[in-house]
Amino acid sequence: MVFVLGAWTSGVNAPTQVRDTRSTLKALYVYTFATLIDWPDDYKKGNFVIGVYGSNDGVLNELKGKYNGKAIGSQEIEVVKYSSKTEMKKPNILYISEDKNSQLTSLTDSFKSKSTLMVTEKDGSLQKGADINFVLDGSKQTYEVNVKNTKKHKLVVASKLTSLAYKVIE
Amino acid sequence: MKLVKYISLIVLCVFAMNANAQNYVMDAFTHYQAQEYDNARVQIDSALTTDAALQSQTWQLRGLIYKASDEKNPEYLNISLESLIKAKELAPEEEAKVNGYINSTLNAYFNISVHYMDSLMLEKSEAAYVIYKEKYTEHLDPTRDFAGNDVEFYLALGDAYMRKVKSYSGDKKIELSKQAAEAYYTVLDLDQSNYDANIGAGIAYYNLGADIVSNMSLTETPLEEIQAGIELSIEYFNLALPHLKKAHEQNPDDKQIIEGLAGTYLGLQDDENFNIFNNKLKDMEGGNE
Repeated sequence: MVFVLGAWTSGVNAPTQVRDTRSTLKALYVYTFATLIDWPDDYKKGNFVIGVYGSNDGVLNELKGKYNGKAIGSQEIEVVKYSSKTEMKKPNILYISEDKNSQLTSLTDSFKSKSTLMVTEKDGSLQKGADINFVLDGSKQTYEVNVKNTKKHKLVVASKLTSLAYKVIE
Repeated sequence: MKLVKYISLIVLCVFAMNANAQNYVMDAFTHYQAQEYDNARVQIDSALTTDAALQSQTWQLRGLIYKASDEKNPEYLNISLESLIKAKELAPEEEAKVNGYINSTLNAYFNISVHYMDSLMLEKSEAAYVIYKEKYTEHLDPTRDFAGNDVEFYLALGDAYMRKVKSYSGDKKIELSKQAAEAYYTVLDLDQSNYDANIGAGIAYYNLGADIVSNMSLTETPLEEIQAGIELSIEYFNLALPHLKKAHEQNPDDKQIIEGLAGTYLGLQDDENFNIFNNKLKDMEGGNE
């Protein structure tokens, strides 16, 4: 009598790839910020514009891929890449990537009378006029908020956003 | 040849029974030979109501009939096994021969596990494998060491979960990745330096960390849950790291491991190490020339 034993199919691991979780998180945070901040009425008309300035294409692509067309209140999100300052009209959010941080002071000066939320990703940016800056708490991606700057921009920030921030400058 | 010898034995034994018993056993045997297993089962079960039930050969035949009826049906295999155990009790002098039949039935349990794995019914596959081992040690060889089989089985199980993961998204994907990691850990408990299990566990945990981040971005996730999710993803990336590093030590040229390491360091916000492995990837792809 012959007994036939089956055999396992082995040695096949799922192919992986380098997944840009860092950009995914930053884009998610930016979208969530948009849901937790109230803009003045003149910024609640037309599309809800999120502009990305600089070479952080990871964040740009995540924002475009996952949030373009979604709604903030009655507005539809429109994600825009800016190549120069002249292209920026009055975005609701301006994401300034690290490579453009040297222009932060002049940008905050240009936007000082506007209600654009300035989001950055470099240490020390809150002191240069940014509203929210991405920072690390060990390995954890988090953010800090400058409430004084948000008030200057006439933005009303939900208490949840400040209470969960790594640091808040009043 | 063994089967022919066995047939003669059955026929001889049948002459020692009364007429009714003879008829049932002979009919069962005839149907068995003709592969008419439904009829064979009816006849052999009827034989058990006669004095044929006192003969080991009747139980042996019943064991063979039930196994042959449907080798993928655990109920039939249980009846086959019980019958063969009874046969051994009635004729201890035939232990070696009956053990051969028992082994055959046990192998069918094993094959059920393989069948379920091929069909990606993985919890059933593991359950069938555990039953196979339990029954083997209970009925055939209590001293058998299954460590080598366990390594093979759980590696294959982990890989099967990783294949299954590809068809799912969201929470189900995370659950399946966890099950893959558990399977690889079973292997690592037996053999810490197992290369395939280290790759598997490393990639399963890396995918878990990355999937948690991806899933949060696909739904309306409250801020506090985002932060909790980030912490959980970091835990998984930290679990992935030692396994990927171990596998990388063993095979520094495996692109899959380098990708896993680059992604893990990126998730852990470790730019220095991310750049090291990302540059290795670029070199491999000819992008750093």
